Amino acid sequence: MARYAAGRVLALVPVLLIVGVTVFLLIHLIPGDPASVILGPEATDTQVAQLRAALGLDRPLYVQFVVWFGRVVHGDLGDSIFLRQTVTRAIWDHLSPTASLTALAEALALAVAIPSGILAAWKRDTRYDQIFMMLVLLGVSIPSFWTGLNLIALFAVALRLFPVAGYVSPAHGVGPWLGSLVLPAAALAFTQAGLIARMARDSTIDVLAEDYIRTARSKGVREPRVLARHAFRNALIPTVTVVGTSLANLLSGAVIVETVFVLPGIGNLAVQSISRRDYPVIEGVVLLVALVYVIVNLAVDLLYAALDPRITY
Amino acid sequence: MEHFLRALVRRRPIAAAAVAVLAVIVLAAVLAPVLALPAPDRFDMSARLAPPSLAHPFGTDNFGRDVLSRVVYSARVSLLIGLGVMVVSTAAGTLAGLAAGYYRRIDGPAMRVLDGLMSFPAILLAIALVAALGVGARNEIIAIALVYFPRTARIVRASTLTLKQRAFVEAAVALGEGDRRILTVHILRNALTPLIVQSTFVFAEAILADAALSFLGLGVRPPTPTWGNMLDDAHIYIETAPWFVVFPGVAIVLTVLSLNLVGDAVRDLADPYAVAGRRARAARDRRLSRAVPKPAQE
Repeated sequence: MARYAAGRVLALVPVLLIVGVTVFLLIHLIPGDPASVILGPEATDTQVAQLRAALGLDRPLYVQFVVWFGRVVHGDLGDSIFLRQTVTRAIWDHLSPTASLTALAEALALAVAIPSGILAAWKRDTRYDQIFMMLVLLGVSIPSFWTGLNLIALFAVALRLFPVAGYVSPAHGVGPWLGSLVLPAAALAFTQAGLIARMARDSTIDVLAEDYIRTARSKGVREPRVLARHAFRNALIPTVTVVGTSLANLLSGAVIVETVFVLPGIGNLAVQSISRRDYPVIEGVVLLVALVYVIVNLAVDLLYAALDPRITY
Repeated sequence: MEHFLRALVRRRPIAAAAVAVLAVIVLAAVLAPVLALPAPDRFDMSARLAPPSLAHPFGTDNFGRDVLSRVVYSARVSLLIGLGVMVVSTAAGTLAGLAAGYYRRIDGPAMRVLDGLMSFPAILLAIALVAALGVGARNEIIAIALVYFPRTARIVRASTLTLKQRAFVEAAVALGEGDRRILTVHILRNALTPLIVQSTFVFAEAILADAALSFLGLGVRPPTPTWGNMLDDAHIYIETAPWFVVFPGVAIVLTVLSLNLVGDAVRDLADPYAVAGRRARAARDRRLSRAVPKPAQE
């Protein structure tokens, strides 16, 4: 197990390198000279030259990459061009709404997806299962920001149950904080709930065909207990793998949903930075989310091995 | 094709309906200029944000433009972008997948690069790429295709790895056939089904990605309407003109849902093993339920 974990961590090195190169190249993909693009058409040649020197753009590309990557490894993402603060600081300041939103959406998705998925497997090929599969498909076919707009129209405008937009920090009370997150979290969760529920259904179907389920049933174990004790726990293992992916999807989906609900999270920060041409911030956000994605997936793989004693490495 | 459509209607009526919906959307998009629609960019300040009526079945927007007409014209842009992404990412994914699957020397490095690209959450990478490349339909297609081609490449690689071991490919190698002929005639042709299925899903994902990018102002810019930039215009009128928010969204959902339904159906119908497996499982379940009756429900 330790050997396997070490191997997996080592395998991350090339992946992280590719991630780094991609993010680095993003800023060098800008057609023309990034410095003059950043400064706009009115900049003088001296200003452009100064910024080029400040960004290190006058050096060879590989030197720039090595310097940049060395800094990133030490947690230095550079300075924001617009915000007059470091990128790390800017991201940190915007982290709380995004983290709260993602966590709540994941909790919501799991709470709905796992029971409904198991039920669909148990009632396979019935009307319930068909409706369930349609909802799953609908979930992956709806843009989350449009779900969000509809939820606003229904619950904020018509029923006045939740605020239309904005974020309340948990420092102002847990109730208002949750209230400001329920609609965006529900909008985000719908798609991911579909994916998790489908996985839960498929793995439960596989488990229900196992010999030990037949044994349990023939022993006279009652059906709810078969589901809860024998099927649920074993079906959960493959489901765990999609939770990692879904967490990363939620994090990037938050980019768009935050814009709809005007939540001051890192998604909003990234979108605003695009219109401000604040490339270091965009780089930082993309890098952070990719890093979270890679780490979460590693954690899930290791957890997978820990959860299922049949898996040995 | 005819055989396939017949099988679809008989065994997957919902997917057959989805094909019909797609046909209507595509026809409307192609025929938009000859349909009896008001011009999508005709301002009518006296009829701003008018609710649905006979003259404007989907209502009007904040400039008094006809929402139905704009939804139809948006389909031209969004479908074209979806199609563009599908073509580019399928072509790139096929080339990369065939190369990685067939040539062992390329496999390792190529897969590391693809894994790296797939470590980025899809929409975020597309956003960052468009931000770097600049806004516009062509850059948008490149950005979204770059995000989705590694998934296609993985699928083609997996098929190639399996097919490479098959006797008919080994026979072709033994007969001295060239790599290009082996890859196209023997491998690609037998890997088409998963590739086609994946392409429909990429098409669907591309339309969602386009909607998100245009909504954020990173797609095709107004005055050219797209479903996403219509929603961007509409979302501040959610209280006063809900129809303005509803119809572009419905168009996105109908298109994407239909594509997903068709993709699922093609996969199930084209894979005889999947169907046989399902039948075998169902038969076994029936046998088992006779042998071991389920206990009474509580």
